[in-house]
Amino acid sequence: MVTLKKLSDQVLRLLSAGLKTKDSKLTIEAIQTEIRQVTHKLIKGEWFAMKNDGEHVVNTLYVATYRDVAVQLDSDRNRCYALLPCYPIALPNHLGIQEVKPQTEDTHEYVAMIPINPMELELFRSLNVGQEILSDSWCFEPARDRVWFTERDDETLLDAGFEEVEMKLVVIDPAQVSATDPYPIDPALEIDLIKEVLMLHGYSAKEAADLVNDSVPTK
Amino acid sequence: MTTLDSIVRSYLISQGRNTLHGYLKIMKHAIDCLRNISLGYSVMNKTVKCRLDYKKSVALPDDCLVPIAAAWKNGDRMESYDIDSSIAVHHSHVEDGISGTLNGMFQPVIYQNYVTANRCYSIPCYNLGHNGSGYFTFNRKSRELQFSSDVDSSVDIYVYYRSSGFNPKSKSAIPELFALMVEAYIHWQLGRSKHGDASAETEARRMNFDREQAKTLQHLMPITASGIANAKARAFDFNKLAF
Repeated sequence: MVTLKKLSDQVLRLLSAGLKTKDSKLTIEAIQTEIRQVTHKLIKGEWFAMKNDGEHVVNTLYVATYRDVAVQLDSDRNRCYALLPCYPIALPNHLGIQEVKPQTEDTHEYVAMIPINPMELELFRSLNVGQEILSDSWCFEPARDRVWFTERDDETLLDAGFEEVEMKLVVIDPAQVSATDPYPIDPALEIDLIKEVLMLHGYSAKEAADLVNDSVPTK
Repeated sequence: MTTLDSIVRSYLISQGRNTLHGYLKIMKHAIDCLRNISLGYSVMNKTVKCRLDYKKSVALPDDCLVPIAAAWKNGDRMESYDIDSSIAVHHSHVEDGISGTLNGMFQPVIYQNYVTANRCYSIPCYNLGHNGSGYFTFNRKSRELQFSSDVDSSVDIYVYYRSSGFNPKSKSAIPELFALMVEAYIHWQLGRSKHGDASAETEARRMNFDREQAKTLQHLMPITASGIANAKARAFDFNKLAF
């Protein structure tokens, strides 16, 4: 299985046209960062390509699960929220945050919350469709660095006894995927990933330096 | 029976989704569809218990089509309030253009019907007497029933009205019969916003909804072939029945 280290070694070897020389300013850590950045770009591109084909499901390779995310109370607004462990990829309709669930062993409560676009609930409340339409469900509203939770039956998450939530985000998080862990990318995209990183460095194919003396000694 | 929530989730699954994104938009379309059906075919009358607010009015429920009557419970009897359209509508804001000054200070005007706090008749006095219970009028602008000032604030008001039969929550029970029709409606409405009204795709979705609606309403109609035949037979020969 490919790892980030293997990919970055491959890129480094291509950029150095062989083994990295002592003069080279390239570092493996910089290459690894670039690989992660390019990966996110490719994931987003792949999602749009699939959407054009009528598919709306994000490949599970790219979905990171976070447990024990603490629920906190904003006392000014009297609303509960949870900070995002990592910024997810910005997909349309906030699909980057795939799922948020109260963390509990009760199977009846361990259900996905309903995602609401920012300020969408305000529009809904002003319509004559029944102002209590979602009062019996947990909902979450993404913000810049957090998700806000609505109340259910006039009770906040903390009032109901849920102190942590589980989140699924579309992101390759360095904290979760180290350089030696299997790198979660579609094998078919590896070559595109390498090409993109090489383009960052303005790579063009060149011959390796001729270091070995091939001359045949004369007698 | 199914629920609104199940219908929305069923639609999401049919579109190949695996998350709940777009739930509210789809829910709104589902409610619109069911509300239209309820408006056309509901014969439900309801009675709800309400409390008077600070200005002696009662906000009508969301599913109220037409208010019919209002009453209060006096022992084991219901005492009705009479309708009196001459009652002034109470309001605490001046955007209706009804404003006044008091002691040179601009203040909103509060009307008093019949009696003031000192138990004196107020000006203007409408000279309608007093029925012992009180009067109310329908404030259409605010969708409220406005009661006269002599109505006791502590009593519960029972409002009897014609209901649309639909005051939804996501777990509201919906006849299973409507599920496919609602999904077809949702598909049509989403097509309108995505492809535009003039698109052939949208028109195809609308026709599909019409088919589903016709199939569903067929189940609601008590008309049968034999019923039609009998009606015709009676029209031409009273003693003769087709079946």
